[in-house]
Amino acid sequence: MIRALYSSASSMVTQQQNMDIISNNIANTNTTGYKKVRAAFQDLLYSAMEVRRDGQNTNLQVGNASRLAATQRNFEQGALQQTDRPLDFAIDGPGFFAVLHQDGTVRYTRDGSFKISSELVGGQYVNRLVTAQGEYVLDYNGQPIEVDDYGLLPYRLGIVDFPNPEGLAAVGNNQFVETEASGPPMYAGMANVRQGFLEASNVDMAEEVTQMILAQRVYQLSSRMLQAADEMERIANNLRR
Amino acid sequence: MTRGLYTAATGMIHQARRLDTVANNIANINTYGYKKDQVVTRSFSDELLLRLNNRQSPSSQPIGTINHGVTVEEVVTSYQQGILQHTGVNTHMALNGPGFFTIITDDGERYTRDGSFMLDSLGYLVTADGWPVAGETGPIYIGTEDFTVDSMGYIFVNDQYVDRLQIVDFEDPQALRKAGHNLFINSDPDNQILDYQGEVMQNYIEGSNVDAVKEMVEMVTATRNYESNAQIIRMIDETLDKTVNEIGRV
Repeated sequence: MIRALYSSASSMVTQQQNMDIISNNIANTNTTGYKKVRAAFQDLLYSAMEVRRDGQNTNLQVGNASRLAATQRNFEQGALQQTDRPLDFAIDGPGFFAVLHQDGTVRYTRDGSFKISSELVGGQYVNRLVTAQGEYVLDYNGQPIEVDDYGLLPYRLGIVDFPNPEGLAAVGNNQFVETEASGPPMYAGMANVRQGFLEASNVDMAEEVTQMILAQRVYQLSSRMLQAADEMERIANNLRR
Repeated sequence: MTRGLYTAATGMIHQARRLDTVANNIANINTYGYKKDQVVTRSFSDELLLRLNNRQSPSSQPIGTINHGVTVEEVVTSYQQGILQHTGVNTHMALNGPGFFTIITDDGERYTRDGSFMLDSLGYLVTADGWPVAGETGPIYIGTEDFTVDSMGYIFVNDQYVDRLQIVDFEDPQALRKAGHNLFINSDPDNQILDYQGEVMQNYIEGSNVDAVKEMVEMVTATRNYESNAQIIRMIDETLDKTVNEIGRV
């Protein structure tokens, strides 16, 4: 059978995945602290069209289409939006807020729209800084942050950074978890936190739409190619009438 | 006459191979640093036709030459510059001009034009697959600090010189073979490595150099050529049909 048939089919699958990634970016255009993802492609292995026996080093390789190699998250700074709400925080520059997830693990986020949760601890009510999902925001010592009656923060927010933020795994809810690829978290001493601001998503609509058009066109081209390969098969089939 | 049947068949096989290459080019139209392949066509070697049983001369007499079909001579990779796309990611790099980044893999050195690099958990510059990018003194350590790369490939972390990207250019780039994963392998040990003359651009990525229009034209010609070869076979078949079934019928 013609290899082109499989190459174009595989290319269509790849572009479909690309489209999934782009549509997720577009869906998160308004998500606080969202970081856009870009698909990176690679060519697949090459095989020999035919074997020459003359011993000469001739290039007779034919490729087997493309595959999704990686999804790279772009941690470019999003626009800072002024909200004037004292419990909104944005990090200007690299770094993440550390929050304690319900399962006891620490998760990291760029979304600083925090709230206060009043809890009874040891017979006393304490106000703790929490995320929209009710997870404790951690300070530099990895402890939940208590807010005093005046709404002031007596503790410094725990801002951490990673050797390779691109290696973090996204777990939804604007949060990331540490992986082997990201490296261990390190407390970022120089982090610039802005109170009363939120970081908008860094998705650029124009760029996403351009990528979308491109993905769609490549999909279209590949489907044409599939048709052409099919047409060839038809011709070969009808050689003998 | 039956000779033509086989000649037309080689034509069909050849056009199908051309389409395979076109399909691969189109599949990689979105692949960073991809270089398109082109099939070079060659006819089979000429053979001398001789007239036998000639009464006038004792030996056979040459009439002329004939060849029996077409095949792939070789696949040529076009190293034409791809489009430079600005990504704003500081680990992304593109080469403007000929040359390749050197990548250190478990199987030895590989070369690539795909500059979608990133930092690994230890702070080394690596490819999307995790292979380290070679500097002049081995893998390049960047760490967590801000870094810049100048047009000559010198890397500075906090304005301190760290290393230089090992960018190579080959005297005969056609001796390079594609190894998948956007990597090239040098198949000729005698291939001279030249000094890099181009320009490194940080925050940019080189796209594929595949031109959709050209590939579509290639696709159309390949399918039509395939079709005409099929027509020839059908014609010969019909003629054979007449010879076998009609001549001799009373």
